[in-house]
Amino acid sequence: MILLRSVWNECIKIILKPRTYLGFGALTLLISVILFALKADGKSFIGFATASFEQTLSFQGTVLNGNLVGFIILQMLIIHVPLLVALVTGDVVSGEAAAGTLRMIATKPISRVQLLLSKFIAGGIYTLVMVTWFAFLAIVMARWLFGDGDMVVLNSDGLVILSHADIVWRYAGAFVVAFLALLTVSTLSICLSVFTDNSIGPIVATMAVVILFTIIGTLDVRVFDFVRPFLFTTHMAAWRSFFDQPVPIADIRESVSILMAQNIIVISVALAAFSRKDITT
Amino acid sequence: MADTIIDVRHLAKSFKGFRAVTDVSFHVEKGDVFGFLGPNGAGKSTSLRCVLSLIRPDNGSIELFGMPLQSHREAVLARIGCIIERPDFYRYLSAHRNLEIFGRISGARITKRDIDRVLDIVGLAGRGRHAVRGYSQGMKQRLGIALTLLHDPELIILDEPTNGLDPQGIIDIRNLILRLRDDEGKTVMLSSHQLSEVELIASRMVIINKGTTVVEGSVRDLLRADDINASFEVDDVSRTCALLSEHARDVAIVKHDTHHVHVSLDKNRVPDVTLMLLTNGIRVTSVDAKRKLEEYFISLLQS
Repeated sequence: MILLRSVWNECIKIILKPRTYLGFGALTLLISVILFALKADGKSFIGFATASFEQTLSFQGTVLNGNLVGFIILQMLIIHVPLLVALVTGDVVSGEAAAGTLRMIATKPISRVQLLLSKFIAGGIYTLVMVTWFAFLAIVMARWLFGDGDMVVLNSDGLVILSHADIVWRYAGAFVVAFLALLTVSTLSICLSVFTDNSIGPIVATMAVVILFTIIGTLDVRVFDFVRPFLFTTHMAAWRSFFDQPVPIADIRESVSILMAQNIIVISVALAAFSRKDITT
Repeated sequence: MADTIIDVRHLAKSFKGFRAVTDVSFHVEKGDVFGFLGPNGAGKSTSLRCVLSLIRPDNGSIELFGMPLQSHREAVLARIGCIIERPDFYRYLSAHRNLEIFGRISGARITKRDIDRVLDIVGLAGRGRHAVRGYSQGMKQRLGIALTLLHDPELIILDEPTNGLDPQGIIDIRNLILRLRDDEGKTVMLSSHQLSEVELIASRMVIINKGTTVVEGSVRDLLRADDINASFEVDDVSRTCALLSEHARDVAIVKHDTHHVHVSLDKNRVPDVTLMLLTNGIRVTSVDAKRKLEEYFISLLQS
């Protein structure tokens, strides 16, 4: 019961914290800019991408529809959303330590485990709301502006054409996997937040980890082959698999398992450290 | 025998090789206003943090309400209201919202009426909806005290509760503490540098220095409460000493210098002794009655 009360507390703090709306504002602005740009000059953008196929393929209808625009937005922005997530979740512990409110809460009759769990849950809810908002802007707004239709996706194997009736579940799956990847960022930033008492450090550290792992993941060097499959950044792009034909269920299942395992490990480390933490600020 | 509310024995805590607390022991009894005194760096805050489970002691035992803190942490904390170091709140939230948040995890069911009641007690009734970022230090201090009272705890621990308060605020808090003890039967533990305040309201006290308990006991016993230290500024020190020895044998001469005679005496005897000196031709320029606790505190630390 006290866990639920504490989760509600954490949600209220996030809702009423001005910084929370920076992330939503930035996301709205970025997606609006992309939507505007594609609306204004999308045909030439798509023409550039499909130029090599025009000799062999004839496209009937509108290639640049809401479904493709949603895909483009996801691809362009999903790598930047971790910053917006870490901006809020990165200081849920350290920000309170710096402000002295952690000391105030820690003298209340709630166990350290419950207190930190409530912060993880609230961080997860914030991430879910952020992903839902992302989905709303990227899919609903794009469909409203650009209309519905079959979706043409260019991947490493070539062109994939998906029927418009076959797309909604793919997006649902893609956003679930994207949420799981961003949840890993959220839990990582909260975990880092346990180890420091300044609010900016964990945000910067989380982004440093994301950048480092992304570089290791994309660097085509054999020495990193062993570690690459275990980096959460490798699986941040797993959402794209939902737009392959056929959908590689085994690969997705592996990515989901690795992301969930990493979440559990990171939460366990944070709980162990927080339970022993001396609150001296 | 009085119920023991806090029982701390041989507490020790180090931070990266630095011994903040070496051997602190004290006990607080039900209905006490207990003064927790010591100079800066004596280990007061570290000891209080251990008592509230903010930090883990390296050694020693802590029992609250007869239960070991470590195994009954939540049950014990539900019965305590406290402010450690200084009251810190969510600056972007109103006082009302802050109390709602802390109240929600206090172990009691807190209503809006409870919040209004405690805000009224500390004189913030009209400012409850204002963001804490606009509060002065004194207002935050009052809000902190409101927070300690919110869930009607049995034990209230206050760390420097009069910091940042104006004289009227200090009197209000003093009266509030006495009212909490006398009317509501609360036990109050008070850590303060304001020795005069502690002297006025504490029934028992402990003094710690360099991480070790120096002395603990009832304030009256430790200070022999009716005695005070006084300094008479006179024109003839040697005659004054002679007159005191002859006519006021109950007055102990502590020391004297060129123009001052320092004595220890019953505070009710100050007018008589002054009159005796004046009638014997001594010109008394001033009489400075020192707070006994200040003197006692300093002499203890010096020794």
